[in-house]
Amino acid sequence: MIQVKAVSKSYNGRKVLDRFTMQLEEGGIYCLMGASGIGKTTLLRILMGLEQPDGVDESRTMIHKRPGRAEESRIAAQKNVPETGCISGLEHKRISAVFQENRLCEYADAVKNIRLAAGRDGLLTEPEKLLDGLLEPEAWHRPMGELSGGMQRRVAVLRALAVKSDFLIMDEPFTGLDTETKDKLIAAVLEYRSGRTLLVVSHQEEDAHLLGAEIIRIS
Amino acid sequence: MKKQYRTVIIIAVWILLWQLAAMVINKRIIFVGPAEVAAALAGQAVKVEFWVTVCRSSMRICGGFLAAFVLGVLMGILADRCGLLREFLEPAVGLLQSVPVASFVILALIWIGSENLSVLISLIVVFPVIYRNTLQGMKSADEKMLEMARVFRIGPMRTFLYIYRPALMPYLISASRIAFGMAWKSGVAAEVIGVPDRSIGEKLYMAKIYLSTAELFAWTLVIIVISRVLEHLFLLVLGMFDVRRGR
Repeated sequence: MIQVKAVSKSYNGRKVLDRFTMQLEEGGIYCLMGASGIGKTTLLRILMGLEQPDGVDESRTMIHKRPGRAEESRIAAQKNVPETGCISGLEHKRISAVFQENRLCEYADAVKNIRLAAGRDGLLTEPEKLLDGLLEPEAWHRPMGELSGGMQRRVAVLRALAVKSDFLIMDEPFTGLDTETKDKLIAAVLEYRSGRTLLVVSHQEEDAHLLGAEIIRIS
Repeated sequence: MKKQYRTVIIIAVWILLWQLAAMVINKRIIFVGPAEVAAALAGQAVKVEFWVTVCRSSMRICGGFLAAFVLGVLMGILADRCGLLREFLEPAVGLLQSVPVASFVILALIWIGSENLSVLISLIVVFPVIYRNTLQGMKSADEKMLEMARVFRIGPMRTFLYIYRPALMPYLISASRIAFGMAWKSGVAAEVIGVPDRSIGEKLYMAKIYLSTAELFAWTLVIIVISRVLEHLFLLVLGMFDVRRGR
């Protein structure tokens, strides 16, 4: 179980996240909803260890610029004293993510991009299997820069599904996709999630229904 | 295609102007025309000595360049990772850039003699350029992609190859273009001062002693052509490491 208790985050004195609390059961599907600028992306960044909640020494994140240290930052976050908010259940959890932007290597093709993210842990599902039916075969081996935004989005989502991880985080994964592609992609997410906890940020209630997700509102 | 024709015509016009200027000045000690330079070049090119000289100087200057390139990239990457190293190197690199090349040449002449003088001089001139550009290139790596690599726990080697390398490449290419020319200019200047046996610098020095302007022009032309050809060759090899070209 992943627990977020009274976590706050402010930038330059402006509170982006104010004493936010949520609980994610192991293997559950959750949809985080709320108005723009309410701190959804900030919360995801904290969960990924890219940002420290208020009350945690900022300098620690600055030191841990190297890849592989994200986990340590998260542990630092949950060791925090309760009064300033804390996160638990994330220790030693491997995260795979879909960011708000695609964040793909634009010079490499879809297969390479997915393999690249596998790192030391290896792949859960082979890229070819994931791409089948979701990306036209002639686009598999073309560099990302040549693919359309929608195609890139699909690869970004499939990349998160492909790698071995314990917790899936997706920030508006279905933006820029037509209904048909979206339905296919949602089916793929559900199939290849393989029981992992899934946290999705979305603006559309429909997405939550299609995913069968429990809605968490953030306000 | 049209542009290429234009370039050829423009160069032809310049050569014609050069010939005209030579005819107007009409003093072979001060200024020689393209015909005399071509004759001097042809006279040299048939000698084995000419090719030995060209090879010896090229190997030294390019050797210095390559050593500086490898060292500059390595140190640049290390300095990007380690702020303390960067701060530590800063005064030294600044010094290398601000001390006149001539002072280094004299100093190097005292230290290592004239034989491999141009290796050291081209190294000293090239290193700061490559080092600084590597630092800049590393800094220009996409912060968002680096975050992605962190979250996915992508190893340092892959992070370098797929996130830092594409950012680094344009910096290294433009730095190499500048530094290659600098290596040749300073390397030959060092040879003129040190006069090592069978070097291009020695030939230039001899041309000065015998007031042989045609020889001077001919060797200058040789330097320009060789440095350009080798520069292209180097950039071609460098391009093979560029992830941005396919794959």
